[in-house]
Amino acid sequence: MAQSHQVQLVKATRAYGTGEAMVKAIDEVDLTIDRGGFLALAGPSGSGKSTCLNLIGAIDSPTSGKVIVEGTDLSSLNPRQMTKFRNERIGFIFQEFNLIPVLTAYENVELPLHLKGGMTTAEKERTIMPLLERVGLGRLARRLPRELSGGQQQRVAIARALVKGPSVLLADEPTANLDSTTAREILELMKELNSSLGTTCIFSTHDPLVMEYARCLVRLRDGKVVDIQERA
Amino acid sequence: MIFLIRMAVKNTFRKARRSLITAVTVLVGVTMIIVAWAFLDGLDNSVIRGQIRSDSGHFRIATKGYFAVEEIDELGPLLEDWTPLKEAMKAESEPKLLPRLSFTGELSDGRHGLTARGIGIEPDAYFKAFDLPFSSELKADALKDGVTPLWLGAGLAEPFGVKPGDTLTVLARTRYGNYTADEYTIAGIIQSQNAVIDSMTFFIPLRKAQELLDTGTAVTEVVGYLSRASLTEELPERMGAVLGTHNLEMQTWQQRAAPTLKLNAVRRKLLSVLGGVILLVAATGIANTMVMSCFERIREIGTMRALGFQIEHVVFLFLMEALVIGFLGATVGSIIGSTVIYNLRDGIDICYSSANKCLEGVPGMALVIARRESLERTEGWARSLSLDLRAQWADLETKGEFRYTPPIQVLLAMSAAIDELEIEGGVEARGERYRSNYRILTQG
Repeated sequence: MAQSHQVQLVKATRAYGTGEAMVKAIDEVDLTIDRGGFLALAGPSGSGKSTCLNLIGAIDSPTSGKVIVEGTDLSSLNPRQMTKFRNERIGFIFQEFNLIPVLTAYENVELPLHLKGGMTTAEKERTIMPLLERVGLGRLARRLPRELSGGQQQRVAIARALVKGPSVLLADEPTANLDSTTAREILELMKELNSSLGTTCIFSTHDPLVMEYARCLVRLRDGKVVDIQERA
Repeated sequence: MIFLIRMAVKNTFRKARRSLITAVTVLVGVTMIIVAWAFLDGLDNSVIRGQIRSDSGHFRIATKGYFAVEEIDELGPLLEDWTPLKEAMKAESEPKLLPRLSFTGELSDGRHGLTARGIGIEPDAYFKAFDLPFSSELKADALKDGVTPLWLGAGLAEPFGVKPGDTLTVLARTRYGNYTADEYTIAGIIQSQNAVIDSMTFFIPLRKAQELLDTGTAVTEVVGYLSRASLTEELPERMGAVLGTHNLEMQTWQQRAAPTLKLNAVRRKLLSVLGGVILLVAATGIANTMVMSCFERIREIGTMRALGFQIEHVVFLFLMEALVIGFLGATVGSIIGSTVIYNLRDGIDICYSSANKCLEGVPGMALVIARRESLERTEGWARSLSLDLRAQWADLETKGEFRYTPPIQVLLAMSAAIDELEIEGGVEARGERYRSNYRILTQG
């Protein structure tokens, strides 16, 4: 049974502080996400959306319970293994785009490829250029982030997140810094990538637009799942 | 890896001004250390040069016990007969041996007196062997018969207000302790590189000194020169037996220079500490810059970590950045430091010119003006048998001859050309004639 779910949270709890001062960012959350899902975690700030993403993305570990991604129990990994896992399996997109300002669009996408090595320049180019073209930035590859618009920067970030062929793409409020037209374009792009590549996309958001696009909407409040809405 | 290095270099120039200021601290430190170090090297060299070339030669030989008391005794134990040394040292590639009689005496002009170190020497050989330039001297024929010449350091001449041709009295005690005095005519005033010579030494002919001090043929020491300074290394060992039988002892220039060199070694140590402190300050500067950069880029570091950068990748990135700043500062500092040293060096080592350039001699002869050490260093470098400047110079010094058939007509023409230059009125007048020729040529 467990194998069919790509991401699984089992009574996952992340608490900060101890004793009286203890705050539970998420509290015994049970959640399963299937391969190829397009899911949004919604809820007011402080509801535990980002904590969920951090746990799934192997950035953080639960204080109790389990997080299983691609059959790997993340709580069994040490920090080095978690880092390696992130590099190989997870793609991240951030609210602030978080491109490295001194690197061009091309080099930003190139960045994750450098950690393992073994790829020739030509091989890298064969991997990177189609991706940049796919997100519509083939011609802007040599530009620095500050020479790109917000939407273009987020497209670079998407290309960067996908360059290692991850199975899960985590997006933390990806449209929060974009106007609605651009946001819609970005969501269309991600939806297209989701269906063509089969990459599971998990958003955290309180943007109604994102919720509208999501095929599954999980509502969180005070660290607990309050509602799961599946859509056809 | 290369990608990370490139990224680090790009990061360095993100806050170019801050990186530059940090690099400048390194630069200043490195420059200061290089210049100061070179200065101490120069000091060492000048100590050695001053010692060898103007005072004590490559080695000194005296009766056992002399070196221990020479600074405090008026005369010290004497070396009664130094001639056997000549024989004994024949095997040592013909050293030049110069006898000296050093004593403490008082110079007086009748009203004032100054205690100084007197040295009896064989003037011709001595002034030829040593580098003791005169700031003024009497012409060779100006010294009247019957008077005794005296050469003294500029620092001794100044308080008396004397010039060549004036007379001074030397008061001393004979080897038997009696007071004695004699009158001398100043033949030259010495302005050398050696402070001891300039401020407290006078020279008189050896024979006169021996008469004055009633020492007969005895001297206090024999000063020696070898063909190369480094030959003294094992000399005391090789000469041990000979010195032993004659109850003599030897002091090489290395031994004599040791206290001064030791002082310089202490200076060097102090400088190292100072340099260390400067570099520490520079390193702190770099560290400070790096800390600032870290705080500014927390979000970036987080992104890199999320993308799968291990901690050491991030650390490497920052270390590389620090390295770039340090390297930049050190490189530019080295360049500036070496430029400064290069420009502060004492000028030209060897200069050569042909006989017909403005001197108007005939072609076929070249003039060479060289620093003695620079020329000595070239021993064995010549790839030609006859065109060996070092060997030619040595032969002219020792035998006064050309090694192969000299171009007599060219030498005579050169001699005539120099005469003509003097008749014309020297360099000034000749320069004026050239200038007027130039004006006629260009302006008609």
